[in-house]
Amino acid sequence: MLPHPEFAAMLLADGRLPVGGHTQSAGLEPALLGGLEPRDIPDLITTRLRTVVLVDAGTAVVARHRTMAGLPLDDVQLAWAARTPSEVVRAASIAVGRGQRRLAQRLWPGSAAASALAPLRAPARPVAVGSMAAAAGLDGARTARLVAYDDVQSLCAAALKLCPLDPAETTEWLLHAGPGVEAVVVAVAHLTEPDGIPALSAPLLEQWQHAHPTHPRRLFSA
Amino acid sequence: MPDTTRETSRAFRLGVAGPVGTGKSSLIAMVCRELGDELQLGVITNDIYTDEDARMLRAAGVLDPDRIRAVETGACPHTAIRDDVSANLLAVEDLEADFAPLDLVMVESGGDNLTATFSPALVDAQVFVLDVAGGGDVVRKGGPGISRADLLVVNKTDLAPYVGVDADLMLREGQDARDGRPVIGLSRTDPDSVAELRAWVLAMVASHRDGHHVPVDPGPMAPHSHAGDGARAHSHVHDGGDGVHAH
Amino acid sequence: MSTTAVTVSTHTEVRTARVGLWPQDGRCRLELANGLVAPRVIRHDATTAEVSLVATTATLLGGDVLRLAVEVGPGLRLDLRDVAGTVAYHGRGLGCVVDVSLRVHEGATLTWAAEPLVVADGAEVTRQLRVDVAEGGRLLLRDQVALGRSGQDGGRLDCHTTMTYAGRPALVEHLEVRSGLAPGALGDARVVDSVTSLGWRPETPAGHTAYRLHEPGALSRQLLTQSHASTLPDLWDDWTSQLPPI
Repeated sequence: MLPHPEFAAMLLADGRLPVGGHTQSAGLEPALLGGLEPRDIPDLITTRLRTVVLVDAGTAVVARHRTMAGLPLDDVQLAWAARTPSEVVRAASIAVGRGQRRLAQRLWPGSAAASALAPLRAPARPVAVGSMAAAAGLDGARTARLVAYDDVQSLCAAALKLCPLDPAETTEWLLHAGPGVEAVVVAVAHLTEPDGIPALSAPLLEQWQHAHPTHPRRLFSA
Repeated sequence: MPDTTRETSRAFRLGVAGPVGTGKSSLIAMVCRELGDELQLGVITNDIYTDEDARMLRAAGVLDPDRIRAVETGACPHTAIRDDVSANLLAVEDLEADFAPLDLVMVESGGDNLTATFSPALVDAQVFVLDVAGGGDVVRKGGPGISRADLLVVNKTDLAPYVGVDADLMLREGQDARDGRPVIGLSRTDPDSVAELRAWVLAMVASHRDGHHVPVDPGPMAPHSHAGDGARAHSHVHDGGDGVHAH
Repeated sequence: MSTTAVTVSTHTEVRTARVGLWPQDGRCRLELANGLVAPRVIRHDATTAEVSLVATTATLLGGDVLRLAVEVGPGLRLDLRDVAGTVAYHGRGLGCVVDVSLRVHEGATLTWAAEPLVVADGAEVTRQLRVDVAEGGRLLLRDQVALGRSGQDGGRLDCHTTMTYAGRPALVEHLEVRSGLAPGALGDARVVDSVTSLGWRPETPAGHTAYRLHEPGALSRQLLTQSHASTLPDLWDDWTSQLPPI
């Protein structure tokens, strides 16, 4: 039996979900090492929601749709990879995607999600999240909201490790990101085809993230 | 390859935990030096900053640098070995796949505190490392690692006279706290102690290979009961059917 | 998605400039057609040709559609270059469109060292770039876009790029270029300079960075305040020298 969709969404959005998410900062540590001023972090959230998060949320929504329809996920993964040109950024996403798949197979063995994810060599995070959302009974809008919320939440959690901040302040950032998250939901919740996944890029974010493994002192893998 | 079928190449996975500066990296380097000729080895490090320990180990020249991998923990070394082991588990599996067949993979925790122990979902057994320089009363303070890790190492016993600690007393207190589980007082200048460590590791690898070894979870802070409970808790992990924990 | 609606006048007939290179009787045949740019043959032999593109008007004004289609037949090599950069001028309320399609067939090579597309104040440009490289084909493309003529903030440019290799998506991007984007998008940059290889992945020389695309290919990109600061001309020379002979 499927959990209530609100319950399922809370479960999947929990920052403590054991998929390895705590090892990444949603691009924040690369940005700070690249020269972003801490006062600009809320604006960085805006940029992410308008660009890379839109790509990931769209990918997840299409992966969810494909999983429900019993279709393979290869072309969703390819569409995501074509929108993620840096191999470093892809590898970081895949690291969590593999953890996500492991958990999906554990929580929903024998589900359409488990069988859709199994043949992929290494699923991207949004592909695995979208497929898992199908298993958990989330609709497209909840799937998009989950991806967007998780990105902002990860960034806010990482900010506390990286900058001297009052935890209430980062929680406030998260709250204020609400309208931006809903804009992502509106833009992608209806998508069903890989070609329709948004492709907005953030070239500077991408350069910062690509350079991350070359920094000698870092707390996060991405 | 999907992450679910690597049973044939599964190594014995040994966690090395303990507070900062007690000599976890040195202990791993020692095992590499002592056993590198007879066992196929791999090492995963968890650092506060990226790969300090990994670089130290690579620089030590005790193991092919490609067999030493660092995992970033997002400033949460405790989480990475206990609450969410995903990143470490993938690193171990990748190492096992890339250098199959490995006999032993050692996972070094980021130096944390007395409460950090490995999840049974990540390692088959664990060593908890203290040193005499941390003070003679550390053992009495206790903690799950000290009481119930598969092996307690009291390191740098050669330094005891210099820091005013009675190493023998520390070892006796360790034995008392551990209900008969093994304790080794280790010094790299004491060949007998090195031989003891070497023998323990070899026995564990052999036991794992024969399928006799049953992992025991030291558990979180609240001490409860003995090995039987831990073993039962661990069998849950295996029943989950994720196919990773092959024997 | 925040794609800007662009009004384009439709009363003028849009002529597509074309460059086609096709095998014929053991040699190769060039097919050329003029549009807002005109192709001029510089060199043409049995298997390769070099063609430059010359603007036929004051180039991009509001309502203009610059359409270019380039196709390189199996086993041939075409080297394309621009005589000068392109400036998109103030559109007086009308947007303009640059629509480019590049097709590279099996075993063929296309190189194009494009000169900058400069977006002046008041210009609203939509650029569509469609690239299809067949299995075994090779592309090397330099692509520079710049905001504003000197002293200007510049207008708005949306670059929609879709590149496929062997029918699979290789690089899909909607790049927004304009002033005032939030941190992490372009930073202080006024120039986005890119070199893309597709169908092959050249070695990246020391001092340069390139993304390894998921499909065989690489993208090296620099974000600059001044276009002359770019070091991509060096990379271009290096990668060009790595192209195997036809």
